[in-house]
Amino acid sequence: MIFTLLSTYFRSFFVQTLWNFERLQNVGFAFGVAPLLKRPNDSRTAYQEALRRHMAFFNTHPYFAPIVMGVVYSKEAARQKQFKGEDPTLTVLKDSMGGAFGAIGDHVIWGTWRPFCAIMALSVGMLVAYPLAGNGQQKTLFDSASARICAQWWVGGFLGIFNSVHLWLRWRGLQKAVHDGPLVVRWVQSLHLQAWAAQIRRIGLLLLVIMVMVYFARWTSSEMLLWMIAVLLGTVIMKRWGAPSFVLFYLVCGVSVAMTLLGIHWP
Amino acid sequence: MIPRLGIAAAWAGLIALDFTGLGPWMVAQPMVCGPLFGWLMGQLAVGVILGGIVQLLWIDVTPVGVGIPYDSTAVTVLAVYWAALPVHSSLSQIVLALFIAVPFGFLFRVMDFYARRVNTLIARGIEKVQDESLPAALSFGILGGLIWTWVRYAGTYAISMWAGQKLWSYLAYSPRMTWKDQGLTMAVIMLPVAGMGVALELLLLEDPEGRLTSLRYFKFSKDKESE
Repeated sequence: MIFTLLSTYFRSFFVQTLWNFERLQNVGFAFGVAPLLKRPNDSRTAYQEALRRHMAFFNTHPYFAPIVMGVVYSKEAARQKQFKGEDPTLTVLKDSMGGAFGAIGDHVIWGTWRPFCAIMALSVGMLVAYPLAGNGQQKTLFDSASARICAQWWVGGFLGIFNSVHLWLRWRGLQKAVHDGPLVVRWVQSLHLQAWAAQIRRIGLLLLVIMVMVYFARWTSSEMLLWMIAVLLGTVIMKRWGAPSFVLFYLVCGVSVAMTLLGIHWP
Repeated sequence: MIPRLGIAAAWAGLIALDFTGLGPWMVAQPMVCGPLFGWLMGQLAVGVILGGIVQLLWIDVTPVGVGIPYDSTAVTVLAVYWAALPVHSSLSQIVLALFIAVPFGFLFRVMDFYARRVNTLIARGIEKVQDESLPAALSFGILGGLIWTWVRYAGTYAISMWAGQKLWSYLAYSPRMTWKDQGLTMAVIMLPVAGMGVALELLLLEDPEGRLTSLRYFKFSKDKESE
């Protein structure tokens, strides 16, 4: 069984490869669940028919796809034991689980865990690299020596922290789903992902405040600090009003260039 | 120039596989792909500066639901490529590269939208095969999907790199535009601050995924497809 699980685990990374507008992740899902479907379906025909059934519409968060694959295996195995006919509840179950896990994944993984890991790696990298940064104009960001240290923390730290949870979630979710079937939702509930997300956001906020303070501390001029506070608050307000990031980017560049053109020099 | 461009586009295509091709492992996040691509291009510091700025400014861009998000990876990769053209780039030249690269984020999103229509054709082809050929068709389909993703991204990167290179070289070395250099040098100090503002606002939100940045401006979804 372990090789089947490993095969499904590996294949689940391709769940979005052929993402399409008609049936979204159907090809990736069928490709991923194929090794699991071989086990309960003793005949080749039964396996091929089962695979065909799972070519239907499917969409979920990619990190939760192995859980749905495990549930599908569990239901297919139960179906083989009880009766040989098609189980109409399986499609409904698959769709509803995919939708629910999609929403959880969007909130917890994309909306919280990813920004948190980014802020953590950015702030730690900055804290470590900044004291080594050069003087003069280069002190605004990084010179080559500090950039190397910073890059190591950013790339290693971000990928390491983010993917440790990502890979664990995929593997443990698959194992639990194969074992527990649809009751795997209890395991997902026991993770208290929403509560964790709220805590993670608070820690992320704290790290961000530290990052802001470290960055601001590089400038001793009070006028410069006032400008920075104005930009920070202005960005928060504009973003709250729904301004997209590219507008903010061009606005900051435009104001900087306009001030230079008007002869107003930054402090 | 052509070998450098070709190698850069090939690497950029590999990075882009992280979107939907394989994973996602987050290698395509600007703070990862920026330093990585900067190192490949021989200028790590440029990659760190641009990766950090883009990561913070576009930290709220996520592929929520079926929406195709703004391609901040393409912005990072293209900006790093142009800014790493000379042996040493000034801060204003680095920001100028980003200035030119930002619209390409939209271009890559449009490209991705149309490419996914090709995915639909491949998926239809797989669905049509006989039952006995279905397992093999799925494997070949996934392999084909990976190759197709790499080819389209590498191709779009190659064209974008070539086109932007001309514009960047003209503007970066224009002697009449010293005001631009001074202004953009100051912008490089303020852009991380603006990025921190974006991150701050995101963390203060009750429902981060509710913003749907990816869907707000171009709703490339199944609904639009069916229109």
